[in-house]
Amino acid sequence: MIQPDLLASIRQRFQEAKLISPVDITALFVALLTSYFSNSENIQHETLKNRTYDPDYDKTKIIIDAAGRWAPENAGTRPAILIARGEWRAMQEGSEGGRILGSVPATYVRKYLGQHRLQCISKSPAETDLLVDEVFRFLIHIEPIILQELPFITFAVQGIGPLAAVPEGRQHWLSTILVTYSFAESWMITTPVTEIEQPPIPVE
Amino acid sequence: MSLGPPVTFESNTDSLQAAQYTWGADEYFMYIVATWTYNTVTLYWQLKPGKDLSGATFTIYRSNLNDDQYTTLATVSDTWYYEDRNPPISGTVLSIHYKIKITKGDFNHESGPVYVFGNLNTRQKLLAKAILRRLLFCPRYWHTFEGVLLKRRYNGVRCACVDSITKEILNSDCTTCFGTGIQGGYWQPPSKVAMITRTPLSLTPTLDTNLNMGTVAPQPIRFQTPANIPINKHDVWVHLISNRRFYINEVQVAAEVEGLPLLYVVEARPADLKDVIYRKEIV
Repeated sequence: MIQPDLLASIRQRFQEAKLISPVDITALFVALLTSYFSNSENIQHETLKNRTYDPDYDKTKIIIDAAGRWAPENAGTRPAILIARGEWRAMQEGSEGGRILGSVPATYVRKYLGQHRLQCISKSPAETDLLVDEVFRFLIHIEPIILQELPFITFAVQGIGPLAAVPEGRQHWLSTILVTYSFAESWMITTPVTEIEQPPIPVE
Repeated sequence: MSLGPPVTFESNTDSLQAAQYTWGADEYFMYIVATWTYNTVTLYWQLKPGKDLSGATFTIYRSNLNDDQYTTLATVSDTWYYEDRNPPISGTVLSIHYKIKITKGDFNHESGPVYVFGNLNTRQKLLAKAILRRLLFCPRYWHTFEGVLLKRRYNGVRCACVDSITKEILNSDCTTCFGTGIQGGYWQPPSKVAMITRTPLSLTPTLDTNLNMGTVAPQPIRFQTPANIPINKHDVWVHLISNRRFYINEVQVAAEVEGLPLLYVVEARPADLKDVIYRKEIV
């Protein structure tokens, strides 16, 4: 279903990145989905079999792109899967800013909880339902591989949002898949930190 | 001097009844409209969705007088209009009226009488004609684009791309139904439709600032057009020179006389260039 060299290239990108950025994760989704939709044999819903992806705009039957990419050649072309970052939060565990107890030099750990939204847009409600379900199931099925190959603590497809009308072209329809993930990073502070003296506590 | 058709209800009658009378709506017809242009009366009709009348024939009758002496003009099928090219004209306005009979097997249904210019009296007809005449002059600083209307079908043989139980459209790029779910997808009216732009025509795409939609198509454009041909949401207007195609998104009646629409203001959105509507041939 997913070519091994694709997984290897994604893994390499994550390994080479000094910091995992939202763009890396958007790229992960774009790479996975473009690979999946490139081959009609991957597509499970029969009526979507002809929605194959091709890097050539003239040949592609589906647009798969980062939502922030300026792509005037694709403007308004549907069906489309557009990937956008959602909320990112940092979660501190432990005290002293997340310092690993007893580490010298001081080493800190922070956990990041992130979300990405996959907007599936198509030209009829039922077609949108099928498209969003195709992507939803694919991501669920590939979760174990992502967790095995990439440095995520958790990676979970949360669900499909309701259909919403989109005011463009003929009436288009949108449904969103929410994916949440978490990963951790550690860093070390080697610069000496000046100790600040605590003022004495007055005694009555 | 023509006296025009009789007004069969009081002027303070319920507005819905008035509209139905004007548009010829009944149990089977969503509307029947008779318009007069260049010595031709064109009848347009639309069947109500949900009535299984695929393959039905439509017999057109005409009467010159306000009685039941109707002459059969033609029997047509798989269409939504009929052109009467030889209407008897007396005076400055027409007093003829029409009926349409639907036939499918043993089923028959005859519409009520449909008048050119609806139920207007002579003075109102002349007023309507004067308003239309002024509209057809191109305003000095407005641009008029000539095109054809593709009328969306709501009745007919269901396309194979429709789900067998839910009847939902599963393939919006189907070249049999053009995403409508009904084979053929659209009808093409006999005459062209001139659209007078009311907003600038910009075809420049933009990036959705909410970052939900990626790069989005150009903004909708607003036209105004004489209400000679019934235009509804989901119809398609094709600009003949550029072959650019627009989905009709909203239709408002901007001018009317006694419930008879004279001028539409139409909001249309350009179809993306890979939309299946570009596969529909214009005859």
